Amino acid sequence: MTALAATKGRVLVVDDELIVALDLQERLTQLGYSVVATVGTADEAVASASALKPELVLMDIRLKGGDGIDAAAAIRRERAIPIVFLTAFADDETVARAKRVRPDGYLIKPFEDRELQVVLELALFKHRAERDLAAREALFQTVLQSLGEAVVAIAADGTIQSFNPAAAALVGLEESAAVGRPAHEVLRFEGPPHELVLRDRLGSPRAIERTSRPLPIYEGLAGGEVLVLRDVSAARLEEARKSLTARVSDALAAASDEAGLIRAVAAQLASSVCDWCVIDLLGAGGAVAETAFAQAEAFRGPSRLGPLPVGRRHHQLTEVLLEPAAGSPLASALGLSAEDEDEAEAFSSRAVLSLPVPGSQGPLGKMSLGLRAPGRRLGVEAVGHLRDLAKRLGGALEKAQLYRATAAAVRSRDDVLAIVSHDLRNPLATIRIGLDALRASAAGADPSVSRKLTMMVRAAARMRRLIADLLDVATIDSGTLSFQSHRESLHGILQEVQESHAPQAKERGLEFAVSAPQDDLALHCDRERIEQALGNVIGNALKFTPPGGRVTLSAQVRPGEVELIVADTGIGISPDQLPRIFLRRWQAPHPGAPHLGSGLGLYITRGIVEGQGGRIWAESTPGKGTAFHLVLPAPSIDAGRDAASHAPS
Amino acid sequence: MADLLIVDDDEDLSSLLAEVLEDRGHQVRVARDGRQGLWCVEQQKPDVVLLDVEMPVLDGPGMAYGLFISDLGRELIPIVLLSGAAQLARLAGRIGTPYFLSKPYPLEVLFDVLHRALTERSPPHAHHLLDQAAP
Repeated sequence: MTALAATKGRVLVVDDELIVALDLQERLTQLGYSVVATVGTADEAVASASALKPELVLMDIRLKGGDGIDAAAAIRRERAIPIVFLTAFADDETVARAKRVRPDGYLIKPFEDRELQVVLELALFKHRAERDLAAREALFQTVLQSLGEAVVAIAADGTIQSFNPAAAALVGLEESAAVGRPAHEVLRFEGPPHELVLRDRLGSPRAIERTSRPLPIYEGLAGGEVLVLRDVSAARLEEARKSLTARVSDALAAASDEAGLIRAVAAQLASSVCDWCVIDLLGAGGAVAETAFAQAEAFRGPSRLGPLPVGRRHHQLTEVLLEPAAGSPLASALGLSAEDEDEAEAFSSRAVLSLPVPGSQGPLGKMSLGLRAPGRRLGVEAVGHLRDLAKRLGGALEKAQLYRATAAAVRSRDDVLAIVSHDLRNPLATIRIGLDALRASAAGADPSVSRKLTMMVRAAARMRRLIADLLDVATIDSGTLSFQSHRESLHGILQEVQESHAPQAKERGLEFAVSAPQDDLALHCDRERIEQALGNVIGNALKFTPPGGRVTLSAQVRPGEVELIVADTGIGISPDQLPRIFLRRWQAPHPGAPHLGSGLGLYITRGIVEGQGGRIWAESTPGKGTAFHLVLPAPSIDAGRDAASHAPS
Repeated sequence: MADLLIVDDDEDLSSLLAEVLEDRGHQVRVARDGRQGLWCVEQQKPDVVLLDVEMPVLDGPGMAYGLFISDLGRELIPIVLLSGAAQLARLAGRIGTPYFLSKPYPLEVLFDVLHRALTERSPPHAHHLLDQAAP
């Protein structure tokens, strides 16, 4: 095998003259070739060529019992191997016959070794070059055949030279039918380069990306071009879908109510994916309460196409795809009854997709899309996308409903507050005036009557306070608590508070002491509100301090602020309750404590203090007492003097 | 003692108040809204107007404005603003009267305010209302 591998080539010698054959064999061996066999007849030549697979056949034209040219033709039919003819007769007729077999060489006897070597080497070289070329061609063809992109080679005269299977699939035309035809007949492009569309043989559009390379002009062969076409329909569809989703989302964000939402979505769908769109929203009774209709601008439907009436009933709220869509199935999909088939006729289309608009508690409505124009289709992915859009719409509808319910609740609360604030006060004023008048005229009469009247007056007073508290809470909650701030004297405020609470303290058997700073201080505040805040805190202190106890109000002046401290020797507040006391509806959970208040007092107090730019907190030791700290800003008008007299010691 | 005009759309409240004030010796007339109130003032100028805020046809501030622009001495009649409206102090400030009471009020406080209005006779100065009415 090593000997074979080292040879310049394996040669089959065909010559019927034994001496010539042996001479050839020897000369070939000396030149570095190996002779696989030496045969003398045409038949033997054909059989050996097939069995021994030589790389070259050296063939005498004149053979006994046969013709070398015919034998060569037979060998060639079976295998493409180089054949070199040997002859002593070079007449024109023989040469012409031999040429027809396309031999790879021709040697006239007698010949020199040198001649033999050159002819054999050329024949083998040429054959090997051809084999390499064929392999390359095969590789090239395989690559071309298996490419996902359509590759079309166009000759300089504009005819198609090659057309790979991807091109055939893209256009819907076999390679054999395309090659040789003018390219412009086969490849029908439309649109601008960035939105290039190729119509296939049936006229359906495909979104295409096209690149083009010129074919090199090579030794007189005219150039031409190679087109590479990529079907980007899927990518462009995905892009279109994303953009539709974005536009629907924007429309959903912009619409304020349910009717606006379904109108906006119908308009978006009709302008992009379908020719007409109907979206129905079901009311409480299951009938269509709101409906929206839109049709594509480019699409000129029958003039009867328009909004369907409300009050229709959908008997099926499942997904339906009708192709073609006409007659009673369409009427049913649109929620029309059998008698309304005439109405439905206007909507008959190539295809109608009807989808439920899902909500968390079941379908909220129905969305139907119709396709009329040829070339528009709803693929499986499109249905999935529309389902997603229906879900988005459902979510937005539920949010809008929730918003409406919340707005209604707020409105109803405002209505209640208006009634409380105004309408309740008038009858209460009548009661109060009547009671006061009765009490004045009953003075000195039956003491039990006068006691009952006093109790009623107290109840009316409590009602008045509750109304005022409710109003304050409402204005604090809505952020509309307003203040009539003026320059006020701290001494004046403290004095007023002392005077107004002294009777209550005395009544409860408590010591009530107010200590004012030596120098008065000017505060910029709403005096009535600050007195109200202090009054709430002092009122609590008086209420929760047992008789014999002590309630104090003191003030500490610091640069820029004043701290008012209300301290008592009362029952105190437990640590777990302390963080909650400024919340709404907090009630002292003290056993036996009278639940006289609304639980709004401290909430209002904090609202006032914070509204005036201050802060409030409490410190308490259960069983020992509580201290409330109210810090109010005091941007002193005469800052220099204050700073001098109140400098930290 | 004094000629009083109550302007309030609450019938019970205004008739009870009229009775109580008459018992104290005052002469009392009652109007149901601001327009009736202006008509009563035209007939005979009262010493004090007891004025509600929220009323049909013409509300309290509207009547105060009517008195102010008539410029026949009616702008000098003291007004006691009686109302359940929130922000009553601010409303009184807009009308420019120092006399106002939030409903419901103890009778003694009303007598007190009324007494002040009758003795001090501070007229409202409804410039703020006028500013607001100007375009």
